[in-house]
Amino acid sequence: MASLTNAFNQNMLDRIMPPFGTKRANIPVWNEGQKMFIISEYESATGHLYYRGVRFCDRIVISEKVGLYYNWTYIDAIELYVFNGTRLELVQTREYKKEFRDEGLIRRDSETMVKNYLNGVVKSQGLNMSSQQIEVQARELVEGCYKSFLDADYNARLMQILPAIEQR
Amino acid sequence: MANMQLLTRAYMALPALSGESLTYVPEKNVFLTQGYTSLAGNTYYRAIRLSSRLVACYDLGQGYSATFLNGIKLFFWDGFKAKLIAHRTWGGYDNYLFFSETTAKDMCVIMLKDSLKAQIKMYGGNVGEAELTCFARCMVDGLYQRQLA
Repeated sequence: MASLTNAFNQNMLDRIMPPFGTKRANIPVWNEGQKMFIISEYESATGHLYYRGVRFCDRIVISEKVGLYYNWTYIDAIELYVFNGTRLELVQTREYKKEFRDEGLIRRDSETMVKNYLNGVVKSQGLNMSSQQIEVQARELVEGCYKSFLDADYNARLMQILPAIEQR
Repeated sequence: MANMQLLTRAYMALPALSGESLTYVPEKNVFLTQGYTSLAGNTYYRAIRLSSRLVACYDLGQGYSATFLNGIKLFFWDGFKAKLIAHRTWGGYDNYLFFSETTAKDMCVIMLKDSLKAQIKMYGGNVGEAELTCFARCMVDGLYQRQLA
């Protein structure tokens, strides 16, 4: 096995990537390919795998429910949360029926959900904000959620919300 | 270890297979799922390789004249079960990927390197890109060596 420097020693390797039969340390999993944390992974009695993918910025949280059946990856639902202090409030949901997971679709639908939420708030509060402004705001918020955890300036403090999402 | 024992171990340890059965190909040290052939005549199946620390699952589609790499899932071991740590998919009009062992291995190396980098970051550590890539490649190479037989 290739050896690594002190920064990543055998002890850390065993915690992160343990040998078969050894419990892995409970560390959140960042999936760079999908730009989200993987949480709440479970296997059904019929042998299908499900997990939740979570991405967030300092204002919103987007949670995906993903299902793996045979060779296929399906998107089962998207949820949009906003912060209320340190708590999360569910403000939009969208469910899918037998829809293949597609990165572009997730992003477009996330933007639409944020837009719908903002539209609702603007209308109910009688605020003055054009639909164009809302659209730009929604796009920027979703864009912020796609920031990579691997980036040097990622706000790691936000990871504190992961356990709260996991409990939902 | 006899093939039967290998299969029993794999069934217990491998990630969710949606109830599909497995065949072990000793020459290539790979587990193949039974797969399914669509009405259009394309066959879809999974190829799974495992080592003592890593599992890679390739989603493959065999079309008329080419084999496509539709997805890769990487798992670490968590006790006696596999835990998903990276997932990436390809497909569609402008995002398809032809399968070759080299391509699949290279993708695995990138995915594993990124995953390790993230987890080391969570620990507050920092390992150089080149060193991590080298380590990830070594781990992925291990998937192609006989581990259980």
